[in-house]
Amino acid sequence: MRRTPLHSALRLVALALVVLWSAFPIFLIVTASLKPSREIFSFPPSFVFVPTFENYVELFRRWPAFVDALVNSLIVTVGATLLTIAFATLAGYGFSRLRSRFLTGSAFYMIVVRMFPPIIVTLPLFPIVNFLRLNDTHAILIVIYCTCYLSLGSWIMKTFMDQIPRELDEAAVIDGATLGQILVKVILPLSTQGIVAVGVFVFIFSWNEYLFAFIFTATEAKTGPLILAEMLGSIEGVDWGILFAAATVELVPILVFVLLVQRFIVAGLTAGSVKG
Amino acid sequence: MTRLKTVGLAALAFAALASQAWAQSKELNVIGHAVHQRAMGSGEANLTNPWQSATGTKVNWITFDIPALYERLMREASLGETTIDVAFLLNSQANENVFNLLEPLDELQKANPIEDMDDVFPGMVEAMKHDGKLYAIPFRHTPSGLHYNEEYFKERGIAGPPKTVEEMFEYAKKLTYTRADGTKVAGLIFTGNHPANIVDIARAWDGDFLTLKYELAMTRPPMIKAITALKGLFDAGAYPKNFMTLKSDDIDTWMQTGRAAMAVSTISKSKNYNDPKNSQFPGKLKVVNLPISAELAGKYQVAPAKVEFWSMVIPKNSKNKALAWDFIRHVMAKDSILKSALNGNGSVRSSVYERQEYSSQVPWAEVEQKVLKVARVPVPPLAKAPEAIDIFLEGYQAAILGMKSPQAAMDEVASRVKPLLPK
Repeated sequence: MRRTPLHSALRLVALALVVLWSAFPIFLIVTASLKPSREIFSFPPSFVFVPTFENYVELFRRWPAFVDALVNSLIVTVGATLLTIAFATLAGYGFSRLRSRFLTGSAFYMIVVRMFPPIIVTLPLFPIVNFLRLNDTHAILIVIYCTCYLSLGSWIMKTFMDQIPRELDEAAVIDGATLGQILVKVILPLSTQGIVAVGVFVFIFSWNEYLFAFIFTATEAKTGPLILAEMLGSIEGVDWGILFAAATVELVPILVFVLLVQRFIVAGLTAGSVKG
Repeated sequence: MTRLKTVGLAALAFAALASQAWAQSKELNVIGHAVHQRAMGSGEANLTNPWQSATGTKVNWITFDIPALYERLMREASLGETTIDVAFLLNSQANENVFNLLEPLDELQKANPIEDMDDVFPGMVEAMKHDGKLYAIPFRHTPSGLHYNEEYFKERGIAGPPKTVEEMFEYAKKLTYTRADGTKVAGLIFTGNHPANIVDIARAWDGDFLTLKYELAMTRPPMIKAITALKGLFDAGAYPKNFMTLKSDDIDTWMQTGRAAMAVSTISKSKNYNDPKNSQFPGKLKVVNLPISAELAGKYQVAPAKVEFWSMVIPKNSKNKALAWDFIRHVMAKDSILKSALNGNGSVRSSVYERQEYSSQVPWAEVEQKVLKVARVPVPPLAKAPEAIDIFLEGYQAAILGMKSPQAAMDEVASRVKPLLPK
């Protein structure tokens, strides 16, 4: 189809609106974190100002627990991402290559359980976790986050692996490869985009998750979003400069991660949408 | 040095380190809001340091925002056993369902009493009793006052703060204007997502939503007068159109940025409002007591505004009750309460207001002291408080927006709230 100048202009405007819609709130948060607190809500709003790092200094001085919480977030996020990728890859391979009534049933079951709101399992789980002395540990959050995304991850991996010709598996078998070798040396390298797609989903979910972290942590495994909620719920008045600085710091790992893997994301999310 | 001596010295050093570690091995878990932790002070000045050293206990603070804190306490206290030893509880959350999960403190107080308990405001202590037993020890209070922007008062030719509530409404109309720099100023603001500040206004006529004896006071003349006056203010454009959604944070921001001339809010927020780092009007945002109605001028010096307070409790299923009580005793000692008050904590001991080091450092001390003599809680402890509050706000909004008369709206609120009250 031939593109007219009007067509191109409309596309550009639409693109600009989408970028503005997505990026403007982030821009506001970052700029607010660099303003003196008293100017953040000044009227008329100031877009030209002398940036200051005072809010960041105050953040780390007044909320030392925030640093620990970020470390906890990182441990839990990386742990959950790796665990989910490991299990989803194995499950995806099984669903893709093997056929049985049990597997079809379990695949269907995984979709069904994903439809339940997490709060349904959260509260009954609390006394059990407490009894097992797993409360306030990184391990419990890693396992829960992995469980939340394992069904979606397995289906993504199955879709990817369905596209890898079975002939490659058969050729490897003829060459004497074991099942493990087929998976590691043949399937995994060809599933990188799927692994990244699963990783992005789990990473973003685990980094931002609040409900489970709130229910199952106290001090040792408390994550970043809990500290942000505390800052918002201040009795003495919210210190917006510090809050925006914390929100900016909280954004950084996600932005870095997404920038690093962005070339895989689009390919990963669209791959498998068309057969053949 | 022989090999034997080296080994011996190493063993001694190890034993010393181990004994030190053992001495510090006890832990006490305290669940509260960050504001309670800050009240204890930080670093070397932390008022719990001497207690931690003396008892060989490490205090672990677990902090949440208010709703999350309550939810966590209820969940932990419902278990067979909890690791939470001391918790902070807001007066409005202290209902019979909660008391059933807490340790009665009378025996502990009898065996090992808190220093001069009579010095703690008796009304607060009384509110923490259920079936004649004491369940919580008050630690922090937050009474309401009237904050006003002195610069705006001068701009509008108003000499000083209002002396009666009628004057306050009149000033609010005068103070609703647009400044030369384009800032639109609201005459009077307060939170609209909770009845506490609406009750504050009704207190100018000694009114209530529910009395401490659970009587339906919202249909009585004081509350009706308050709502009628506020509707008049709304009709005159001097009460913000978004009054229903104004939250505590909005009130703070509006005052700090000059979007409002007067606000009903916690007195101690004066510190935050005048902080040069956060406020565009440092030193110009004054706080006074909420004025009483001219009708009650002889009865009260200031309006019996609302006071809310936090108390310390021990969950019934805690494993360290004796240690928890010892901690409470330490932070409730006169010297500790003074230190926490100097850290910004509302003192629950009346004697602190007589201390020169307190009154000289806290400019609003006198305002607080005046209101604490007459203040009372905005809503009594009620298990179904969230539902009752929603019903009240619905009626209040209908009255302000003119959908119903104040009396009709409150009559309906009363009929719907009645079944929620304790039998």
